Amino acid sequence: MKSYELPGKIKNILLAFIVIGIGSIVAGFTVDAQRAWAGTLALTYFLIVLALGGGFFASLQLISGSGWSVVVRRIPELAVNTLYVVGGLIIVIFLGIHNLYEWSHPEAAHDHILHQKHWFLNTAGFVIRILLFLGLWIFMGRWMKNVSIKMDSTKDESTKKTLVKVAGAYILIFAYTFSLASIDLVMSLEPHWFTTMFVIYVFAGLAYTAFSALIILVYIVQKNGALKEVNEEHYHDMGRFLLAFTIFWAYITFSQHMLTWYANLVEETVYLERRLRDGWALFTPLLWIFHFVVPFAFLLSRELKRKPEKLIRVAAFTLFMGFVDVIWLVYGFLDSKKIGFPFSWMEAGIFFGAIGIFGFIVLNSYTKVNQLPVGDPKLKESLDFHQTY
Amino acid sequence: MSASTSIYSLNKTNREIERDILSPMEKFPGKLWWFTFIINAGLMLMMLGLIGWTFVEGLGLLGINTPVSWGLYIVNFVFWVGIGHAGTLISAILYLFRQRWRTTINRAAEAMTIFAVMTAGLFPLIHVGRPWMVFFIFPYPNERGPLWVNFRSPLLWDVFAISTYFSVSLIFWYMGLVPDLANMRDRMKFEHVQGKISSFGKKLKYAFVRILSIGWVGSGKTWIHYEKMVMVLASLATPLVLSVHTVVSFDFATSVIPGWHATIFPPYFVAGAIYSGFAMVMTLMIITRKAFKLEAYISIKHLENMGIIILVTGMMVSFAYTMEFVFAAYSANAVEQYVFINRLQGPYAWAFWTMFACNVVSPHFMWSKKLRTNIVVLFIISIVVNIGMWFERFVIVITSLHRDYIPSSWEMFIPTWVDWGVLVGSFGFFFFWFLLFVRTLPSIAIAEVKMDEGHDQLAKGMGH
Repeated sequence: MKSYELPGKIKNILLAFIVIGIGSIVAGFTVDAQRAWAGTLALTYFLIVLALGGGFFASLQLISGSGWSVVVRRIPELAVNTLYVVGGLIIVIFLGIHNLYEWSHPEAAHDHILHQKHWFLNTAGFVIRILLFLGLWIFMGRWMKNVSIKMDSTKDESTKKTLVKVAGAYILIFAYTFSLASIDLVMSLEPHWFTTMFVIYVFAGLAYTAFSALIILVYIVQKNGALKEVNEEHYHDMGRFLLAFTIFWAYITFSQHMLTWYANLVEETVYLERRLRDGWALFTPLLWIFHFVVPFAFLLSRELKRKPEKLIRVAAFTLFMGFVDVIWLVYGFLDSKKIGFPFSWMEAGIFFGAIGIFGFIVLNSYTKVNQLPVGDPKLKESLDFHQTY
Repeated sequence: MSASTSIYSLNKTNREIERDILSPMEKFPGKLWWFTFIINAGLMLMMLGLIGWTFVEGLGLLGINTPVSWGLYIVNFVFWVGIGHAGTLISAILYLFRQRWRTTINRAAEAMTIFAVMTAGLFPLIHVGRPWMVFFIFPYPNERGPLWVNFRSPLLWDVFAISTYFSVSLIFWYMGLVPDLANMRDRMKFEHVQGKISSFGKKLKYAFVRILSIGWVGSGKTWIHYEKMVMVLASLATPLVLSVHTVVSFDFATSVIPGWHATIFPPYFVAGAIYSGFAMVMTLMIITRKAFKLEAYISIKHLENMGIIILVTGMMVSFAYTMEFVFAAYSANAVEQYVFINRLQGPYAWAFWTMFACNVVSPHFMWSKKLRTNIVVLFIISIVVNIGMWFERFVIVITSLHRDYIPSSWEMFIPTWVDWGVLVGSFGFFFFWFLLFVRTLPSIAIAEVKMDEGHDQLAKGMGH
C-alpha cells in the first residue's frame, strides 16, 4: 500500500503554528515569567494528554476486539512519537521546578502539611518518578506501534494476539502511571489540596481530547488524498465516542464539584473557591458551558456525526476546550488577582504551538508507514462496516 | 454490523428455537424446581417474620449502636442495588456498543435487575424503624404545615434515582417481552383451536398472555416502531444505570466521615456495581442453562465474555482501592490515614482482607483462557466475587463508623442473628421471584435470537 504524502501546505501551516507557540512562550517570559512557566507546564501536560490519548484509543480498540475502528487505528498508534518532545519539555520543567512547585522551596520545611508530604513531594522523587513514567510510556507506546507495523507484513493471527496482549499491558500501565504523573505534575501545584476524583477527572479530559484529535487528523489526512477507506460510518462512531466522553466529563466534573461543595471541607473547597474568584469567576462557568453543554447539544445530532465537514468543526472546538481544561487545572496556583482572565494571547499561542507540534510529528510519522493496518485480520470487517442504527 | 455469520450462530430453525426456550413454560415444573422454590419461599417467610418482629420489638434486635448506626441493612441495600446494575447494562449499554452476545442473556439479566432492585428497596424501608412513616419522603402536597422533604438529602435522591431506574428497567423489560408473549399467545391459540385448552389453569394462562401481549401483530410496521422504541429506551436507560449507584455513593460521599467522603466514590461505586452484577448474572446463567438445557444459547463463549468483563471491572475496582490508599498516604491528614490503616490492621481487618482476596486477587484467574472457559471455575469465581463485593460494602459502612473521632465513642459492631437472618432471607426473596420468572416467562429473548439467526441465514445466502 502506498504511504501518505504530507502536502507542503499543511506542513508549512503546522510549522507556522510551532513558531507561534515558541514565540508566545518567549514573549510570555518577558511579560510575566511566572505565568509563562505555568504555560510551559500546560503545553507539556497537553502534549502528554494527546500522546497518551492516542495510545489509549488504540489499546482500547484492540483489547475490546473492535472491528469498525481498524481503518482509523494507525494514526493514534503514532501519537507516541510526540513523547520525545515532551522529554525535552520535561527537562525545562525540572529546571523551573522552583517557579512552579511550592513544595520544592526550602520554606516548605516550615509548613506543617508540606513537611508531612515531604516523603512524596521532594525534588529527587519527582524527577525520578516523571522520568520513569515517561520512559514507560515511550517503551510501551513504541512496542505497541512496532508490533502493529510488523503485522502489516506478517498478516497473521498470532501477531494480532501479541498486539492485543501488548495493548492490555499498555492500558493497565497507562491507568496507574498517568494518574500518578498527573498527581505529580498538576495536583501538586496546589500541594495542600487533594481530592480522589482528580485522577478520573484528568482521564475524562484525556479521552475527550484524544477523540477530538483523532477526528481532526483523520479528516486532514483524508482531505489531502489518503485514507479514502474511512467513510461516514466510521465518523459516526468516532463522533459517538466523543459524545460519550463529553457526557462522561460532565458526570465526573459534576460529581467532584458537587461533593466538594456539599462536604465543604477546608482543604478541598479551597480548590474550587479559588477558581470562582477574580478572573476565574467568568472562566469557570464558561468552561462548564463550552466543554460540555454546547458540544453535547451539537453531538446529539446523528446528521452532524455523519457529515465529516460538520463534525470536524465540533471536534476542533472540543480539542480547544480540552486545552482550556488543562489551563483550568494548571493555572489555579497563580495569583488570581495578578493574572486577570486566565486565557490570553499567550495561552492561545501555546495552544497553536501544541497542535503544531503534535500534528507535525504524527502526520510526518504517518508518511513513513502504511496508511492502514493492512495486516489486521479484522480489516475487512472495518472496510465493510455500516451502521444498523 | 457486517453481513457475516457470527460465532454466536445457532444454526437452528425458528421452530426449534421456540421449542427450546418455551418448553419449560409449557410443562409442569419438576421436582428440582419445587425443591428450590420451597426452600427459597421458606427463607423469604423467615425474613418477613423477622422483619415483623423488628416492627413490634424495635431495631434493638439488630447489632446497630452508636456510632455504628448503619449496620447490615445498609450493607445489604448497597449490595443488592449493585447486583441490579448488570441487567440494564447488558440490555442498554451493550446494545449501544453492538455486542451481539448480549442477545441470549439480556432477558434473564433484566429480570434479575428488577428482582435485585426490589430486594434492595426493602432495606431502607425496614431500616428506618417506623416504616409506616416512609410515605413522608414522597414530595406530595401535604397538610402537615410547612413540612416538606429535604431536597438536599442524598437519601431522598436515592428514592428518586432508584424508583426511576426501577420503572424504566421494568418498562424496558416488559417491552422486550411483548413479542415473545405474543409468540406464546400464538402457540396457545393453535392449541385453543384444536380444543386442547380445557383446564382452568390453562385458560387463565391463555387469558394472561393475550392481555400482556397488548395486541402485538408482528407486522413490518410494528417492528419499525418497536426498533425505534428500543433504541430510545436504551439511550434513556444508559444514564440511569450510572445514576443509581452514583446517587447511592452520594449517601456516603456527601458526609464528612473519613472513609466515606471521597469524591472518587461515584465512578468507583458504579464500577463495583457492574462487577458484582455481572458476577450474579454469571451465577444465575450457569444454573439456568444447565437446568433448562440451554447450553446452545448461553454458550461457553458468552460465559467467557462475562468473565472478561469481570476481569476488567475487577481491575477498575482495584484501581479505585489503590487510589484511595494513595490519596490517604498523600493527604497528610491524620484522621484520613488512620481510617485506612485501621482497615488494614484494625479489628475488621479480616473483612478487609476477605474483600481483597475476593475482589482484587480472584478476577485475575480470568487472564487464562483455560480457566475462563471452565464452567466450574467461572461458577466459583462468580460466587467469590459476590462475597467480596458484599464485604466491600461491609468495610465501607462498618469500619468507617466504628471508630469515631474520640476513643470514648468507639464501639464494635457485632451483627445479631436477626441481622444474618434478614440477609439470608433476602436471598430467598430474590430467588423466589427469579424462580417464578423462569417458569412463567421466556428467559431468553426469542424474537431477538430469531432476528440474529435470520441475519446469519441471509449472510450465508449472499455468500459472504
